[in-house]
Parts: sequence; structure tokens; C-alpha cells
Amino acid sequence: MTLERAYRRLLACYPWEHRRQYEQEMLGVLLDDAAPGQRRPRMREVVDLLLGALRTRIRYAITDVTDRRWHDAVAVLSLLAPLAMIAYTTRPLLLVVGGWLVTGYWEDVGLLLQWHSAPRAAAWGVVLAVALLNRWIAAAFAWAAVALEAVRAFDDYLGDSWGYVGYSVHDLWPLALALLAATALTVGSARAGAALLGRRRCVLLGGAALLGTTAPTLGLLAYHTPWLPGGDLHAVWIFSHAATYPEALMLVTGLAAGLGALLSTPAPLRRRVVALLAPVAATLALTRIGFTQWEFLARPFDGTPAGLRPVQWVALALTPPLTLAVAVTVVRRREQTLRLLALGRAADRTSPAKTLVLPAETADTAEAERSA
Amino acid sequence: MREPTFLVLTALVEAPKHGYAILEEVRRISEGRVNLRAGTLYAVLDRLRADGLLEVDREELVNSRLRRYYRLTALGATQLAEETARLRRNAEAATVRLRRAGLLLASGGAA
Repeated sequence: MTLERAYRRLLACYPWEHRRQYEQEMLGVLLDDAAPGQRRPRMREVVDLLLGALRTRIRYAITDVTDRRWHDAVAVLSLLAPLAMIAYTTRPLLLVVGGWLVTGYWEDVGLLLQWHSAPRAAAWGVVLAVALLNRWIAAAFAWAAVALEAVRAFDDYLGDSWGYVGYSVHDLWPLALALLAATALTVGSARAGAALLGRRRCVLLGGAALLGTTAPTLGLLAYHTPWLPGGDLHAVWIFSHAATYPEALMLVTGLAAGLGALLSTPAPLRRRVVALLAPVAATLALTRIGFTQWEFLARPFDGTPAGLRPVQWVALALTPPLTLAVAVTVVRRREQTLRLLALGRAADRTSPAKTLVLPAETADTAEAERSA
Repeated sequence: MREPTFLVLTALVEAPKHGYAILEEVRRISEGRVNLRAGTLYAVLDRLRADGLLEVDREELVNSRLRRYYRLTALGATQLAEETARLRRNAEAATVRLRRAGLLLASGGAA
């Protein structure tokens, strides 16, 4: 291998934006700086280039995630994530109240006062209300709510109040969402998020959250209304395992409204919001599907699931940050491709063939071909 | 400001220079103490360009290889002057205290 080729291989470790700018120039400097008769890179050069490539990659990644568009996505999530947490934590409370209304059995209403019921939902309600007034106080409340969520997750894992050890990680994803909400509120502003979304999308998202929150309760009430269709629709929902038809209808409507609002945002914002939500989705998939169905991660089930093995703890700890890194990279790559396509189109539009003066007949044919 | 950054900016004060010339100038300024390599040099150049302290003066093709000349911007000159003043003040303060403590001779060497 020639010295030049060896240097080229080392320079290939740099990110492509850097290579596009500096590769030829760096190669020239490396060859100028080489000793006469040198046949391969010296160890110090190899270390210097590899460390330089690593530093550059880290710096480009940081520059990328601190740009305005990522800030906008964080601002939007500082509004959406607490809203989703309110919907998730309020649902079971309303369901208990609905059950009381239907059956008249009020003992369960006392359960609402337990720390993981009403106080948990109230904490996220306070977070969202304060987020629109003062983000720092909201962030402080959000971190307190995260602590509550973490205690709830540990409680789920270690056993319930009847002493049943469940080793459950089924509802770990809300902890991931709570962490995202608190981080977003620490970094971004919910008011800026609301301004970015605009009134129409805020109303749609609020409506979606309201439908998601009230669907099981309204479904339960509808179930006990004789002239409405009864029956259960069994499916793996995020919030519940079985839903009545009216509940399913409301959930789908809410989902459509929420997705519609999200899909109507500008593409760069939408891509980043989805990328930032990816770790929560990955946690959901890992805990609900991975730990039960993927062979290498599945837990032996002997009436009750076994505790997590070390490999599962590692998967649990690494999946969210790795998913985030992959999602950020995918967004970067996608936007680079789109930029290159746009450049190609622009070059196409200014190609010499376009500027030729065509005879009238040829021009008509060309126009017909284009419209075909 | 870290030493390689300070030396790269200093190397460009008098005239625009290309990458290899900057390496040589840095070695000269530091009397051979600082031997920058291409990886470190271009990390510094890229960051200084992004911060607006340097800009490209011109590009040339020499032996089919690209040579890009860099020059200091007004902002780069200001920051270098400020850093020089800060280092001078620190050096003077250290000198005064060493002399007062009798640890530095009038010739500049250690007592």
C-alpha cells in the first residue's frame, strides 16, 4: 500500500462534510510533512488522525443537535410530553370514577388518594400549567414527577402492595416519556413549543389527549347503556389490553387527530420530534415485545416472570441512548440526501439543454413529453 | 484559548498561509516545542473558521494538489490581541511574585 493510500484510509474516518472540505488539503499536508522515503504513516500520525476524526465527529454531532431545528423539536416536546403524561396518569383515575358511577361501588374511589394515583396525575397537571408560565419551575416540578415515576417503576418491579413480586417492566415506557418531558422542559420552552405548533394544532393535540384520557371511562359508561353496541375489542393497546367498540372508536379518533396535527408540522420539525420520541418507542418495544418474545432477551415464565438478567439490564440501559443516536443519525443522513437531491434538481434546471432555443414543433413535443 | 489555537492564530498574523506552512510556522514560533500534526491542525482550522476567526484567502493547485490559504479575520486579530494581553498580565504577575519571593534572578533564570 502506498503512503498516499494509507493516509486516505485514515482520512476516511472523518465525517463526510469534513472530508468534502478538507480531505485533499489534508492529504497534501500529510504528504508534504512525510519524511523522505517514508512508506507508511507514523504511529503519532495515526493516533493524531484517529483522535482528530473522533473529535470532529463529536463536534459535528453536537453542532447538529444544538441547531435551531432541534431546539424547536425540544420546545414542541416540552409541551407534548407532559400532555401525554397527564393523559396516561389521569385515565385510570377517571375509569375508577366511571366505575363508581356505573356500579355505585365507591370503595375503589379511596384508591385515588394513593401516591401513585391522583398525586401522580396532579404532578403532571401542575407541570403543564406551570410550563406555560415559567419553564424553570416547570422543569423542577417535572424532575420531581420523574422521581415519582421512577419510584413507581421500581415498585412495579419489586412487587405490589399485596406482596406479589411481579418483576414487571411492562409500564417502564412512561418513565422514559417522563424523562423526555423533564429534559425537554429543562432545555426548551413549552410556550415556544405552543407558538411553533400554532393554535389549530394545539387544539387538535389537546383534543387527542382529552379523547385518550376519557375514552375508557366513556367506553365503560357506553357499555352500560343498553342502546349502544357492546362487546370487547381485544388488541394490544398502549393504554389497555381490551377496549369496547366506543372506546376503540374514540381512541382511533384521538390518534388520528394527534397524528394529523403532528404530520401537518413542517418536515424538519416533524422528523426531529419523531427522532426524539424514538427512545420512548424503543423502551416500549423492548419491554413489551423484546423481553417476552425475542429469544435472546425473553424471560423464563413459570407462572410469574423471572427477574431481569444482567444482559436485560444492559439492554434496558443502552436501548434508549442508542436509539436516540441512531435516530439523530438517520435524520442527518436523510436531510443530507434531500439537500443533494435539491442541488441535483437545481443543476438540472440550469442545464445547457434547457437554455437551447428549440424550434416551435420540438418545443411542443418536449412539453407534451413532460406533461405525459 | 488553548496553545495550538493561539499558535495557529499567531502564525497567520503577518500573511495568509496554507496548511503545511502553518505547521512549519508553529514549529518556528514555539522553537520546536509544539509539533502539530495534520489531524490537530485541521481540527483547529475548522473550528476557527466556524467561529469566524479565520477565513479562506485563496486556493491554488500545486502538483495537482489543493492548497488553501487561510487569513486572520478582524475578529480573529481582536481575540488574539486580547489573549496576548491576558497572557502578558498573567506572566507579569507571576514574574513580580517570583522576584519578590527571591525565586527569580534578574537575568530571568530560577534562583
